[in-house]
Amino acid sequence: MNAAVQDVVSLRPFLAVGIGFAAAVLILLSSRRPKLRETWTFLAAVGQLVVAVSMIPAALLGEELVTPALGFLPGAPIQFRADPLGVLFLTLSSLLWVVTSLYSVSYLEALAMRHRTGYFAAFAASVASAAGIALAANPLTFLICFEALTLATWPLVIHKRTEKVLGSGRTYLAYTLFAGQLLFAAVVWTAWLAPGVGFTPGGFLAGLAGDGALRGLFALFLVGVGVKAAVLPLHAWLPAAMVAPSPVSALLHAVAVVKAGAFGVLRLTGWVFGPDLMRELDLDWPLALLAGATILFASLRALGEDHLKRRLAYSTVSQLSYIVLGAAIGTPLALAGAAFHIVAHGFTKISLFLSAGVIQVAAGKERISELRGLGRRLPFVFVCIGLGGLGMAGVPLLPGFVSKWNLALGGLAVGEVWVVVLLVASGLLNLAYYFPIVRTAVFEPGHPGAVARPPNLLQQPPLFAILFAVALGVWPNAGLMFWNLAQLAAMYVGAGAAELTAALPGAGP
Amino acid sequence: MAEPLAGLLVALPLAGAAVLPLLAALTGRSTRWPALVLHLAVAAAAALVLAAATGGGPVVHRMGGWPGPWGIELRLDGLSSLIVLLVAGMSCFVAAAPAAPGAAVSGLAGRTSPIREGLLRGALSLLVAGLVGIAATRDVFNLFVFLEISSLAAYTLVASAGGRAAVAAFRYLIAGTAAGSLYLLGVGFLYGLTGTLNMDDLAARLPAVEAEAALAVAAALIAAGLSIKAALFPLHGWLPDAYVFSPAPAAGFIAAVMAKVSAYALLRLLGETLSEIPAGARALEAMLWLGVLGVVAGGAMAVAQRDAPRMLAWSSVSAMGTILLAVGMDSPLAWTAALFHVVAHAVSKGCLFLGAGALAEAHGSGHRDTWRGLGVEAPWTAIALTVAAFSMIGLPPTAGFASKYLLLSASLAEGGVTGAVAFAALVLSSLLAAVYFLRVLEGVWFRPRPRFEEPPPRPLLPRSLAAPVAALAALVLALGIFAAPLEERILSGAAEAVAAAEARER
Repeated sequence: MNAAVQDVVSLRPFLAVGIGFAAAVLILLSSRRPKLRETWTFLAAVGQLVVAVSMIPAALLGEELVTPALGFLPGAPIQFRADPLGVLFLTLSSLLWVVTSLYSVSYLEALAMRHRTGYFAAFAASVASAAGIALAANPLTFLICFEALTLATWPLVIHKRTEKVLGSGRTYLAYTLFAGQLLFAAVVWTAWLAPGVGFTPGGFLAGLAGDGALRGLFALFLVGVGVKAAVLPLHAWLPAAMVAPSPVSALLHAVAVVKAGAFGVLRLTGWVFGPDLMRELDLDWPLALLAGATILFASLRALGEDHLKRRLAYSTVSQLSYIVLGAAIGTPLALAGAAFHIVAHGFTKISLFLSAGVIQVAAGKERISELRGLGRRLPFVFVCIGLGGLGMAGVPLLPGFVSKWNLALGGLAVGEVWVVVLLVASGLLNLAYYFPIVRTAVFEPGHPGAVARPPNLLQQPPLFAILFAVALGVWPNAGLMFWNLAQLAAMYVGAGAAELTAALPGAGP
Repeated sequence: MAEPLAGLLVALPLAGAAVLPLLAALTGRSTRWPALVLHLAVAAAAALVLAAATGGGPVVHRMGGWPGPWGIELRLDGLSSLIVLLVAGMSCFVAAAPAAPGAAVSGLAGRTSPIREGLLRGALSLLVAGLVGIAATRDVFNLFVFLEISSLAAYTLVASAGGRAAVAAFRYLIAGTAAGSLYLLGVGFLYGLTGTLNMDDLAARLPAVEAEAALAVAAALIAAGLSIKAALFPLHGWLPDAYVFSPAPAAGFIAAVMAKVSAYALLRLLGETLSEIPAGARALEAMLWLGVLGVVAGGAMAVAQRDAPRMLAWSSVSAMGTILLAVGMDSPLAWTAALFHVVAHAVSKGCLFLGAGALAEAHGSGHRDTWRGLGVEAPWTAIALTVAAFSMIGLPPTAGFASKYLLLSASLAEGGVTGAVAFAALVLSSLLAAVYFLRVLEGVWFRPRPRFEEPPPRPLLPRSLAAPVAALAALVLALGIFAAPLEERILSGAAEAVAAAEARER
């Protein structure tokens, strides 16, 4: 472990992970009493948020809360650790869980959807699994939570239970379980090379196996986590999963699940292999190229997509690869930018998806070409979409700028000028596919047909998310120390890559 | 105190085989509860012996007081006592189940005459005696005797469903008899070469005659015979029909332990007794490669099945491939993985076969679509079957996850091309298992029962089957969460066995 970091044994990380799972069980047991069921959801969401926030100070002070290691299998205990990167992801998903739960209740009510008990239970289990992924202290614990996330999300994807939706569910499972098995193989391999070693800033695999074997291991790992991060060519499940209800697309397919994948890539490059070893094995630039290709390809696909949620999904595919790009570059600034992008993209994209859900509820529209004239009827929704689009493009004063700025600086630090070009090009493409949505709705004449006034509880969550995003853009800590956590996580990794740490102090926008 | 218990482990179920039918004939009543008590007693004895063997070395029982190598020894060390406990324990889960086919539908044991029921329960007891004997004995001929005892009992149980089961049982009988004959022939060669039947004695004497061609033939015959019994691909032909057509409780027990005990015998004979001679090593290597084939072929065939029990049967072919692949890797870690998989798979597959068999009897068809809507109609059974299926795929936190972990570790430790191929095959088999199990689970949880279908009888499973299914699922979870103690126990047993073998050499 890092010399500056002190371990403090605590059960609190268990609590952070356990709350959601306990809630899932309680929800299933109270299927006959909707009020009680929803109370459990809110209690759990708020409880998880409180626990998450309570762990921030310790993480910032370098006193990481670590649970006792539970002996499970030889060379691989189960353990959770609240390190800065983990706390960052945990706080993000807990806060957005609260927001999405409020939204879910009125969304399901407005569309008269069935299977609500299963919905809330699976939702709680998914968020709990994401919390476990955030706090996992070693690859085995990560894997267990990763598989749990796959299975817990499945019922949500196929919530509508039609043949088409069940087919999409199969696509989703085929991709994620395949990846899970490869990840399993990689985890066993890692535990065999380095028994009992947890995630270590700067990596721990150097010199433990031949170059060829380590490259093979990296490939297994990368496919394992890369599917959830929707890296080209493993991204096809994400647009298919847009058949899920909008709150699911919002929290899981913009935050929890896909970020778990991106988070896994960060852990892989920063905490398992480490930037130095990546460079030594020539793994950094292929991964960066892959990320770059994904960013451009997905943006181009988004341009041609008329289905609103699918366009957002392609945008997610593209944005996730910013994180992968940062992980590949591996300099402290790039890593800090990547870690911060988890938060930046989370708030922005959830607002966009929740807005899409409002349009669905109020006007029954799912395609961009059908949005004509809706701008005047649902003004707040299109404010969210407009600001969200600007945020995705990385316009200053929105959080996407902070991450992109640091990514670009991180790229320049290792002399990769193309990173800057790529980021600018992608920003322009983002504008090119977000602007038409607003233009169609606001400026093109047309009759939207019957538009119901959406309940306040549907309109407020996306508005809150986008306002929070604006706050993040102006003040990257936003009260929850997001930027400091990202910076600190990157600094720990950088301490392993000592020659680059000099660039860090005082950096930032 | 443990030594007479070791003898009881065989004697008690053997006596039960005679007493249960007699009791039924004399009292004219169902022998369900006496049978359960008997199996529980055997399991308790097995647990005591396991505890004694773990603490203070192997428990040895000399039949008739004759010491080895002249007399027959039953030796229960860390490994064999575990297998014995597995057999005895699994039998308890099916002991109270309805004895006859169709009884699961009506829930009435009375449809069968008590005498017939007593005979079937006697056959189950005899099967336990045979399997315990195979695991415990140190005499290669005696092993043949127990092999035949268990097989005869198994044919009876399979055939008891009548109809097509009789054909399946006949096929099983042909294959089983051929297997027994091959094995016996191999033992004959060994005896001719060395003049002894005791395994330890054989191990000591074989290196002196290792150049003999007959020894290679003997090793091949023994390996072939036991491989048929263990359903090693491509010698698995008897397995699918036998598992599919047997009545639910019998299928639950036979699928759980029958082939695995033969695999264990292979492990002891090839890995210990014949390990020092080239022919034995070659046979082990053959096991490994055939295991790889079986893992993949079994999984692929399971994907192609629409009938749930048949899918499970093919998945068993794949599992036997997995176990023998690990046996073939021949290291303490690989043996540990093999035996952990034996336990994990026995418990999970036992649960699934009991459930699948009962559902097939309730619906009159095993088609996997009859499982649709189970999550609503019988949620607890559906949860139990889901847990067991997760274990078969190797998802955490089930027993199957721990065994997959150990198997993958063992193939990494093996290294080289062999290790890489084994590793790839294991990963592939998990993927195939995910395909065929999740397809069924999708129906169980997310699809309604087809509307044109008649509603199934209520309750779907009689309590005497639903309870064991739930208990086995709980065991699957417990073994997954507390995998470490079991793993350590097996590992120390395997290391002990290897050390003992090395000590003999010196």
